[in-house]
Amino acid sequence: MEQPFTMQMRLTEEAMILDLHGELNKPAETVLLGSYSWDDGLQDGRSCLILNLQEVNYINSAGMAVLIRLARSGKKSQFHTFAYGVSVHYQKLFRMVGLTEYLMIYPDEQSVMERISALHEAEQEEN
Amino acid sequence: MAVKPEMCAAITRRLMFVYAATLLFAGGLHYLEVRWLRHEALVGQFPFGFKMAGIMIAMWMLLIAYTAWRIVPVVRQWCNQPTEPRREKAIGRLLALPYEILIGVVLLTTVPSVILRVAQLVHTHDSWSNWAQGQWLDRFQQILGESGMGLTVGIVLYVMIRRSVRPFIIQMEPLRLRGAGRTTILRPLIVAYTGTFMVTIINLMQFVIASEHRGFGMDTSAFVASSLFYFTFGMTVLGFVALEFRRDLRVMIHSIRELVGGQWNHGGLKDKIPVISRDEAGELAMTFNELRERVSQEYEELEKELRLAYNIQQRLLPPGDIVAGSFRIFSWSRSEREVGGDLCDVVTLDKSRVAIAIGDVSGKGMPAALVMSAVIVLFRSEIKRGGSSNEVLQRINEQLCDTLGGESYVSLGIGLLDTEEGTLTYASAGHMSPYYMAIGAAPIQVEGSSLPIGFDPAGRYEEMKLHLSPGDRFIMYTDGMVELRNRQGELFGFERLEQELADWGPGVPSAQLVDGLLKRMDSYAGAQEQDDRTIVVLERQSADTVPAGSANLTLAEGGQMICQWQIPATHGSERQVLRELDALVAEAWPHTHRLEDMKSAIAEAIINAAEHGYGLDTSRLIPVQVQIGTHLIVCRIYDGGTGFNACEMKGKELYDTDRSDREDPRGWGLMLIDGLSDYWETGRDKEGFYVELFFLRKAERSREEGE
Repeated sequence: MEQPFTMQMRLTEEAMILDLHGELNKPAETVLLGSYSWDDGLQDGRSCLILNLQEVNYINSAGMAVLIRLARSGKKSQFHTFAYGVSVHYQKLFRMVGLTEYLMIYPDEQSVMERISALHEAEQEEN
Repeated sequence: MAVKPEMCAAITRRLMFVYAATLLFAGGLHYLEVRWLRHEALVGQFPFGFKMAGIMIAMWMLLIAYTAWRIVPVVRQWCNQPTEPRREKAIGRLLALPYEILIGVVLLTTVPSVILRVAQLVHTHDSWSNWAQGQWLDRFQQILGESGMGLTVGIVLYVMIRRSVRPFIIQMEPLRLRGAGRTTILRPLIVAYTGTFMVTIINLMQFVIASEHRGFGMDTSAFVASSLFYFTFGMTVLGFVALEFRRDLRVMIHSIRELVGGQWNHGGLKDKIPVISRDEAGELAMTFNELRERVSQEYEELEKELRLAYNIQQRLLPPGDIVAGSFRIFSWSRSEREVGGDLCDVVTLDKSRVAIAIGDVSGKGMPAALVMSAVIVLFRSEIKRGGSSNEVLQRINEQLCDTLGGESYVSLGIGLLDTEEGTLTYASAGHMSPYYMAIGAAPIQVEGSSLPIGFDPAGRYEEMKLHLSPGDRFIMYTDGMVELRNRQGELFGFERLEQELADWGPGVPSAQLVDGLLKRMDSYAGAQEQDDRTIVVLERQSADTVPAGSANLTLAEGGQMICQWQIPATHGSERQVLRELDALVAEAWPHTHRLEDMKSAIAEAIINAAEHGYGLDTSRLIPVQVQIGTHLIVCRIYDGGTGFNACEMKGKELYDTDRSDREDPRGWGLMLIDGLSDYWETGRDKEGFYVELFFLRKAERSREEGE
């Protein structure tokens, strides 16, 4: 049965987490890109966007294009984009279409959080 | 054609060995003859020791040189460029070699011996008085001994060379030789017989002359032993030659038996007999090859006609999976020969009525197929004239009785389905009793007895009516489904069929169930030849069992599954295909690791078609076909557009993923297709332009091994 795309937003101190559900395809574009003004940066100066793809069961090229546009906005607006819960097959597809140039993939949320902490520590040391 | 560049070296090696073995045999024979059979002083014509060894080595080298001069160049020429004239020349030289060596060896020993001994006679005896004392007899017996030895070596070489070159001639695959029949099959026999006879006579004559002339007297036991030895030698040589003939004849008899028995390769009578001589045996082999060629052509013609008949017959059969209202009708039929006598048909009468026929014509092959076609045509015309299923049977019977003339008969079952009421009226003319399966219940055989069509023009048939609830199934089949036999001759039988049907779970597509049943039946039967098999499964579906517009499934020859969809040209419609493909591929390739690749590639091709070919016009339908075989899955997606060339597209920068400057970073559909499928191609047929994706199981296995 078709599972329409839905999205829930969570906020942590350092990141905005999007829990994505359903099928990530062309119709998901409106939900994902239209629900927030990504070019303006993340809420309250957060520097990381985390995409939780654990509940996404289907991604096609249109869906990957949406992810690229989202991650590209992040690059412009100075936030990092992370993703976790991506199956091996879709990791392969992400590499094929060049999505991994915009998006860092981790196995789970904890790994992403550890990476973000390490990034912040490095930034503080630099400052 | 298998041309072996090392053939020259192999022939030379083999002949070098033959020459050496024969000369050693001759040396040993001579030693035996002189030391054991006669007094040493009796003969004294050939030297021993180093001189003998020198002569043998010289003779061996001479024979090798002759072979290198006569044989090696022509064989090498053929190896480098295997043309017909070169093959003829090389084979001609190989066939002549035994005769040339025989004559050469005899001349090389006899002529010098005569010259030497006469010269000795002239030199030592200067007057006729000395000659008259009979010294010439001594020289004569020496000439006899030396030429007899030469003839012995020549005959052994003749037999051994014939035997040695034969495999090489066969390797050259000669299927015709010019001048075949010019010589006679008796020639080698005559040569061998005359040669061994002369060897015996010459050697015994020399023995007698030498014994008498030198005054030792006749040693009877040595004479008997010598006679027996040469008799054995002659018989062995003749036996060798005769065995060769027997071997050639056996090959021909075997081939003729194969031809008569109709055993030929799938490619069609390609096995021919090599023509390895120019005698009657060679001529017979050539004649046989011509006969086989002619029969092969006739057979291929017949095969072509049968293929045509098969195609026509297949077109008469209904599509494998038909949805009629709330009913789904799945049919499968397979002939064991090119054409068969089983029939099934589904005719839509109006929006709520469908007629189904299943039957079996007695006999097999073309006659049965002709009757089968006639019955289908008659059924289609009679069912449209109206009436109940038993009335239609009666009319068909009346018309066919005269035509069949009692020589053939047809068992036929006709069902009339009302898809709105959910009822089926069924009448049978001697056909196998169908099964009714209420949802979750065991199969019940629906009995009905009557004579098949073609026996009695006044035959009457009973009709019965069934109401099918959602999930109920009605299964019709032909006798081949129960009369299948295993290697022990045991029938598959009703009991096993009922057991199989009882295991059919509700909600599982009929195509999958029948596929599983057929696979188990095939493994039960092994390679045994079977009767034609047909099965029709009629199922009333519950609303939630199969999604609307689901795949039209057909089981093709060799267990191949053909699935077809018509999906709206819109985003997301590809999900329906992917969902159903999931189940179908999981069934056909249960351990596959490539399902996700397949689904993504197919999805991209459908999205491309929907967006570019059909312009996302939701009123238009995209035809999608997937063929699932045991080793290959092919998916064809009709694009609906003007098309493009796959080769040109592959030549472009498909893998350029830098789309950073584009607002919508798309355009990698073909790149994904290219990366995820094993091969993809474009084409065009009457339905329009299409993209075709190929997924190989072999590639999957090699990837698994690589991983």
